[in-house]
Amino acid sequence: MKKWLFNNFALKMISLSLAVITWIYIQEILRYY
Amino acid sequence: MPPTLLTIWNFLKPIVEILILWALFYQVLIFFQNTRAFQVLKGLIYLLVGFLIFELLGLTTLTLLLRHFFAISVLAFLIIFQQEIRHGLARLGQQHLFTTNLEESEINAMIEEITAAAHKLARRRIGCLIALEKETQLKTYIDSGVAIDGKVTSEIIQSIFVPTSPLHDGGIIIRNDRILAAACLFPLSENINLSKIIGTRHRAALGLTEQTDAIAVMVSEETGNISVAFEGRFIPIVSKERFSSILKDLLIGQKEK
Repeated sequence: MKKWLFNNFALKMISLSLAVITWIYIQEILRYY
Repeated sequence: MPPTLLTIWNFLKPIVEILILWALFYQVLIFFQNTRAFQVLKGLIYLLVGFLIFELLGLTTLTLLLRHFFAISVLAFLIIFQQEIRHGLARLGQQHLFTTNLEESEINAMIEEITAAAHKLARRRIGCLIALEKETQLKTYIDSGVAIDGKVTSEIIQSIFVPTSPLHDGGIIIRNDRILAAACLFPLSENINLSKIIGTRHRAALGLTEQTDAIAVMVSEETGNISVAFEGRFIPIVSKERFSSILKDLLIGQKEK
């Protein structure tokens, strides 16, 4: 698990941040509907 | 759905969605890593983050400006990097049409022949490039060379790569235990992180392994070093035994998976 996490760590963190930001953004849009 | 399960599902839903989004974003980043498109993708990500921040802060002018610019950049990205995207999609939709149907002993015998040829060529400082086909068909590259269809033997490989041979330029492609073609042209790697001193043969080996699941074996004519490339990366070779064991792992080990 630790080995998996630290392999390409930067890319994993960038993609996780993007995923969270996108999810929050979409939820904000959905709130208007 | 029972109310308890529904509550649990409602709690888990955001986590599942974020995890799926994470996997998608990660795959996209991995897909473009080490390509020319990665730098541009980074730019697009900065734009996206900026756009989200402006939107959250309610800066409408900047949001509108970035929204238009972002729409154009996505289109431009698709047009400029259509080659990379095409290769990636081809890999995603890769059909497992071909799987090696050789016995382990036959694979071992073939590896022995390749090992012997690579070491003899390395000793004489004769460059060579050998591609071993796995599941992705290398038909396009086979068509660019001269058909041979001969059994893999150390002697044939050596005679192909002797500098006076008309077939010594380019690489040979091996499927199962047969040399299908020689003098094949492989795509050059577009990895921007590669050292400038890496020669065309090594770039071609990397390029082929970036775009397909083939294994490439190279001998450098300058240094006489033997290298193996797989999935766009070089695997360092320190000894004859290690060379054979790496090839065995890549061919037999993957087959068992």
